[in-house]
Amino acid sequence: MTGIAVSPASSVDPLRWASFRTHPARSLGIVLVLFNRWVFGLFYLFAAINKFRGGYLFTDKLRATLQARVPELPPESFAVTYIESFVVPLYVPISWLIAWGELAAGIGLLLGLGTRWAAGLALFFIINFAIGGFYDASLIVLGAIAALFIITPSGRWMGLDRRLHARYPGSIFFR
Amino acid sequence: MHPWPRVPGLVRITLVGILSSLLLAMLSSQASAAAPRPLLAAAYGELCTTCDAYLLCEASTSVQSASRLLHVHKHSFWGQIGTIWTWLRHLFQPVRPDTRHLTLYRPTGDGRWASEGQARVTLDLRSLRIDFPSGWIDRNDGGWHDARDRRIGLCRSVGPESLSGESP
Repeated sequence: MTGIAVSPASSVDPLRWASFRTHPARSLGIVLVLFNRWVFGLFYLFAAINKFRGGYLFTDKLRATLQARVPELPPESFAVTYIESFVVPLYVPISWLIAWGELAAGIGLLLGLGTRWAAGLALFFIINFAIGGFYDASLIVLGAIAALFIITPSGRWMGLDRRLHARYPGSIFFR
Repeated sequence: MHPWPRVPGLVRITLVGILSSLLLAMLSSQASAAAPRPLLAAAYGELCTTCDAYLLCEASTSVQSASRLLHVHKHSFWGQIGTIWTWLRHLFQPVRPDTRHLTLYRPTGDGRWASEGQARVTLDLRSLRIDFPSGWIDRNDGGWHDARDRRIGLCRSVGPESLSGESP
């Protein structure tokens, strides 16, 4: 087991209406973070659903998409090497990893379940999309938003992590 | 220390429900046959935000000076960030038009291209049209139409080298 210390603030205050009177700025900040988390979670959930519905798991859609992308990229770029020597040969397990991973990230962020892990997974996908030839500036913002949910205990402000952390205080999954 | 805690009932029911729905959706889905891709569309949707595109439009008449070269620009840095909103809107409306900067070139007569000015171009995968102020292009067959909807020629995707190459 890793030696991540359990913060004495296993006492993260949940979001309550009363906190808007006592700590309005903090409460507003928490609401903004939570709103972003739900939108971000929805975004991932829909992305996963589209992949399941689009037959991503049982067709070569990922390979076809990436092979169509290659001619649009500078031939000497790292993205081309990444696509041709890593993603295309392994497109079946990677398709499954993306679809199920996006689903897990979406559910985790929406429910506040293993929130920091779900955000870490989302960030992992964003980084891989960027280095895999689909970089654009929007990924910087999306990466920063995902990092926000890794840094903050948003699942314990509002989410299943709060109850689960209280029940399993030593678990690294619900911090 | 309980690194692998038991999943509580509510979570279990939620997860089983979601996964069952997705499995049903997956089983009922059918991969569509590869359809011919509309002009400038990528395999995953609209022209990529970091891509420049060039279209050579040639008039069907003998008046070669009517030909045009269209440079559809990639999105700016902030334009790329703005696509987050586009993606969010995709949750509710799958296909939205994409608007970009356009530089229009006309042949000078001595084998070169000269800029005719800047404009905005709208790429639409729903109507399958590329609209710009002086006309529009059918993304199915590349048909070039003037502002009065008369078909005046054909457009095709070309590389950036066309700009430095010889004009008609």
